[in-house]
Amino acid sequence: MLTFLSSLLPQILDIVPNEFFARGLGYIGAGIAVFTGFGTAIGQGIAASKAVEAVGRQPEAAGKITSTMLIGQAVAETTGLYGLIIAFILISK
Amino acid sequence: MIQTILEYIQQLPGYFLTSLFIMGVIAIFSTIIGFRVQRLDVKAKPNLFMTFVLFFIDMMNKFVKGYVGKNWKFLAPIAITMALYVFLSNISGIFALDAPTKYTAITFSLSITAFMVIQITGLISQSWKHFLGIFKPVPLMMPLNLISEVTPIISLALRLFGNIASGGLILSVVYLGAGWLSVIITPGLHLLFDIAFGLIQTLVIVLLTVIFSSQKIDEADLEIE
Repeated sequence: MLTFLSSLLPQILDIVPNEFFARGLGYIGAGIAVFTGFGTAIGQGIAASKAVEAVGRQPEAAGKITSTMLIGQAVAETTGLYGLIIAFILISK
Repeated sequence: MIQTILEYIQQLPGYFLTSLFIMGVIAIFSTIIGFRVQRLDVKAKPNLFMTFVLFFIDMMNKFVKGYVGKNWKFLAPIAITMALYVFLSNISGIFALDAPTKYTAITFSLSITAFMVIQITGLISQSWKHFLGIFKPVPLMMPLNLISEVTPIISLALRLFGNIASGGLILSVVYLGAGWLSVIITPGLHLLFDIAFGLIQTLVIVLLTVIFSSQKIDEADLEIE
């Protein structure tokens, strides 16, 4: 099926499937992979807003709340970084 | 003979030599401080630097004791050494050295060490019953418990690598693009990406190692002292 498609492509779309085509599609894939930062940013913003509410309710505990929030955000950022690492791998191929 | 050794050292990659240099600095520094602390008088007031060092070590000991309990003498030196090494490697970009934690070889070595520390803490605390911990809540959950023992290796390593490497990439783009303006812009960026994120990632990796070890100990260890 793949050999049939790759023999049919140069006549339909004027594309020659060589190495430059593969690298170009790799760059497009790297751009799509960084979209995982979208959900990460929304989640971290919600965590920060709850921390600010908690400080507003009890200002004496501001030090503990800040350090807990920073630790939680550093752990939640890991899944956003996985997309960045896939983008690094795709660009350098 | 000396010539072949020098040629071999010159052919090693730059980040490896930086890592060995940081290890040597920490070793010499802590040996000298150890000798000085032994000769301190109990009644005299120490000077400012000694006060800072004693405060730091006391804070780390209390922190580990609060989580692990009886076996804190095993875990506290490992936590202090890991914290010093990771922090110095993260900020070595400011001293014109190639930061070792920008490369996955160093971060995966650190996370494999953390995995071995967690398992050995469980073995010390519970001798052979540690291996029955996989069947703990319900024996049906054994595959999931096995997977959740192995995933901290990958996530600890990739978290540290991703934060420091992306900071270095953004700074090198700014240096290339701004030319002579980079004297004004980049100190603030160095402060944010190298020092602040480096400090936060150090805290996170030490805290996660200690918390994972505290889940593997016997319940009776926590009340003693």
